[in-house]
Amino acid sequence: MEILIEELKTTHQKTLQETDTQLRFTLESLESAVEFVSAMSEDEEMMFQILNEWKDSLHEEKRDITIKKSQKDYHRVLSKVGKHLVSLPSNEIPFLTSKKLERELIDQLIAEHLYRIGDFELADQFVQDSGSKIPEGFRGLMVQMHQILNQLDQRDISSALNWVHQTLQLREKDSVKEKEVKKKLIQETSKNKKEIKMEKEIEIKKEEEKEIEIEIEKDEEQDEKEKGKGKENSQKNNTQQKQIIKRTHSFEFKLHKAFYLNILLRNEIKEAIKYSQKWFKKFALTHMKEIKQLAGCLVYSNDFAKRRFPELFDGSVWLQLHSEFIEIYCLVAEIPSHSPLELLCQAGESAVSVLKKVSGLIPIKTGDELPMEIPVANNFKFHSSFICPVSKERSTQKNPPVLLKCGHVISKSSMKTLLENGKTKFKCPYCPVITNSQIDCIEIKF
Amino acid sequence: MNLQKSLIQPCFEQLSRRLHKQYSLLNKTLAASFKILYSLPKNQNVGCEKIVEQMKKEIKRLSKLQKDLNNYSKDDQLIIKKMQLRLRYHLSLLQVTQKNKTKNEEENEKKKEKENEKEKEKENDKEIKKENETKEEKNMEKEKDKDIEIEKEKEMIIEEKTEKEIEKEKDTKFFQDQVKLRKLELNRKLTEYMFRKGYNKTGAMLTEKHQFLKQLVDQSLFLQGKKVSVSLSKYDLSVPLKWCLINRSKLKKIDSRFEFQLKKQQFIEIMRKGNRKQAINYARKNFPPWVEKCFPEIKRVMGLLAFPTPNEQTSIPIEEKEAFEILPKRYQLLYGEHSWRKLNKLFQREHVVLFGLSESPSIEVEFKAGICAVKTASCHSLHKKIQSTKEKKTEEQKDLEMEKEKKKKNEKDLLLKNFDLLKENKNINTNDNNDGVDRNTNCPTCHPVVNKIAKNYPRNLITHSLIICPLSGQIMTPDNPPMIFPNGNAYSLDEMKKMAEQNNGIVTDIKTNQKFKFTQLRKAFIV
Repeated sequence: MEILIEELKTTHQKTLQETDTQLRFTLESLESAVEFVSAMSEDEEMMFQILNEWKDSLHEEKRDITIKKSQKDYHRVLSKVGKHLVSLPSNEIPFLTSKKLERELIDQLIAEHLYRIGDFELADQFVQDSGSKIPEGFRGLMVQMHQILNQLDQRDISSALNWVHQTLQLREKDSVKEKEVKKKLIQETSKNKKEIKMEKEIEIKKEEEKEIEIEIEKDEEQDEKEKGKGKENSQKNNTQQKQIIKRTHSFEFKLHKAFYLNILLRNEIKEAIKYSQKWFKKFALTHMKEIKQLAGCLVYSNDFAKRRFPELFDGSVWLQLHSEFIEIYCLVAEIPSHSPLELLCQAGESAVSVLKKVSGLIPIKTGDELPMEIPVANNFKFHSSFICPVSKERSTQKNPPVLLKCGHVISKSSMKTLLENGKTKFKCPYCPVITNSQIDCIEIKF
Repeated sequence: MNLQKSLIQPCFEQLSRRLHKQYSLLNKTLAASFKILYSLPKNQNVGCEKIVEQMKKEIKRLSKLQKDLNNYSKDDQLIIKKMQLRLRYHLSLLQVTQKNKTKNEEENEKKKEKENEKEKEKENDKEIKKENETKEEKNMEKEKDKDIEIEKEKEMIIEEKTEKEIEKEKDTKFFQDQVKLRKLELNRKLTEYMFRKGYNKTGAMLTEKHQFLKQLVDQSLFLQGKKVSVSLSKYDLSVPLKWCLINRSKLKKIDSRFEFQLKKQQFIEIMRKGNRKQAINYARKNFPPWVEKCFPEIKRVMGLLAFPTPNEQTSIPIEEKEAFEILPKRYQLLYGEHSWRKLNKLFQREHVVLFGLSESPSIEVEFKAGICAVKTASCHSLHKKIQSTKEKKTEEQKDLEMEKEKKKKNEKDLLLKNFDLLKENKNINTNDNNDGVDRNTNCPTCHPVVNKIAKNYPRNLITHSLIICPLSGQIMTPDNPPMIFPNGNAYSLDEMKKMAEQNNGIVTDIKTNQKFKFTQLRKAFIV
């Protein structure tokens, strides 16, 4: 294809030149004839002689035919290109054609995608043009997210900190009891200052945390017993809240860390110490190792520190912050952290060629499994699935995977087939260990 | 995806159309002027001044022809360069997608890609500057020789500049190039979608932001198409007929019947007003060439002559159906809105197929292919259960109902009786979103809007087990195998180790908040 188009280019230039020169010749001869004739305007006989001579020469040369012929090559190559294009396979995949019902939904998704990128003008224009609806509040969420991200890119952590404190406050309203216990802990720890004592406190805190957890467990068991919609949700939310609190907590630490490193880069050691004294207390329990590292950086000079900890000083900390913030923000807001449109289009790039091949051979029914596997990278896999190595079936709730004594896992149905005539013991298909189906097996939920 | 056809065919069609124009222009002028020149009078009766005047006229005409051809060819050259650019873009995209599969050839392809990127940016700059140049020249109407010289000078300057840029580009990382390419491709698809659907303002905004997209998206094509479809919606047949005339030869190649459909509609419109004679004349003129392919349709349309026309009943607008209830249904349909809509659809399809594009915008096709690749049974099952219940219920009610159904199934299961975990466990396989685990809110097919679309598409076949740790979100490997709790839940070894270290050897099951000792966990080997 490339060769053809290059050929096209060269022939085009050639033909242009040729037609040009031919036309030029005709014009020249015409003009000279006009000159002669006008010069000879007095002598009419001479004039007509010259004219006739000139006409004869025109007939001989047949310039018009040569001009037309000069276009020939270009035509030829162009038609070649056309034939080649026709021979290329079409881009149609029959079962993926667009349907009416999907159009609005796809418009919605595109609007969401545009908001996520941060291009608000474009997104608003699109919403106007297409008339698509977005879930309420989505636009506001994205605006806030991008404001904070812009500030982060300029190495300003104030708005991010505000957001972190807000979310922590909201989440901690639910777990009030935790707060009260924490207050007690903080009161106890405020007396001790040295590191060794901090370690002891850590141990004490661990024990106290266990007590807290047991208390929480009791609460949750009560919740389990009570049937009711709100309380079931609070149970699920508790585990979710814990996760969120943990992650925002560590994110806050990273914010402070990045700012601290920035101060260090400017060689303002006193300021760095003050900053760390102010903010790093909270994180003593969870991030002690990192705090030690950062404190150690105070001692090194700038160049040495850069060599010793290159990953801290080359600006990658801020890039990581950027992507982590997006993830956490979306976690808290309960929306996916990457635009679903973008992810699916990426996955679809390689899928399209496979689908085209197959749809020509086998009719694909919707709602079922594909007849062949589309290879997909690991970052597109979000759900667990277990395939029994014996029967090659996907495990479901009716047919869960079963853990045998030896640690191998097969599906329940294949276990049943291995059991003959009401016996309870059988041999694992992979290793010669005998398992008792009633005692040793556990059904697994992935 | 084989973009080659969709990228290059529009340019090719443009080129061939222009060539056609040029050639016909050339032929006409040559024939006319040479005719006159050959027939210059030999007699002395005609004044020599007139002859001289005629010759001067021909000089003017031929020199005009020369200029026109030159102007045409300049634009042609731009189009050819566009084609080359698009080819290179397509090739570099292919390399990018293939790289995800073969990691071994990275280094060789790095170099190739860098060269491609540099060439692209070279040509990008060249073309933008050349486009500006050509516009200026058209306005000024300078002579050709001077123009060519000026162009050469500017080319020299451009080449110097790009060499400096190349030196700067040597430091850019390979990954950044890949990311940029991907973004560009996504933007290209989005702009194509905008123009196809007629969202012209957003499309214009997108092309303004990313100037390179103007080279890659055929805006004019879609605008033309829009004009025709707008006129069809206004029940006006003149614009579509013109369009057919222009593209007649290509429509023949595709074997399209669009022109016949238009003429059929014209016949119907004449009949609607009641002019039978006019209608018959029209049919005699226009239908014979289509007899081979479309005879049954012709027969049916002519059958309209046998029935009273809407006008003869009462004067009614197009939408009213009551007046022609006398007619059998087939003929009613011909008179109604339905045939206009059919026409519009047919046009959309033909218009796109002519230029080698796919029927549906490429973003839709890739998006749905992605659904087929990413969708799993667990993404879909929540939707199934929602379908069985009424859709007005809230999510909490749905969860309750699901739990009840599952309880009945699980009552027989001895192992699970002891635990009050039924509620939480039921939700794991259906919708991981409610699980208190963060990773799976990210699954794109679980997104509510995508889910609606995804129910119509098949899911990917899975041949190997893949277990994801609910805590860390990482895929479990033989180095990081799942540890099974006595209640059946599984988490990765690394996470359990961490938890045990922090809690004196006691691990808690996050889903049920039960506590066990680390030693009670059993390792599972997934084949």
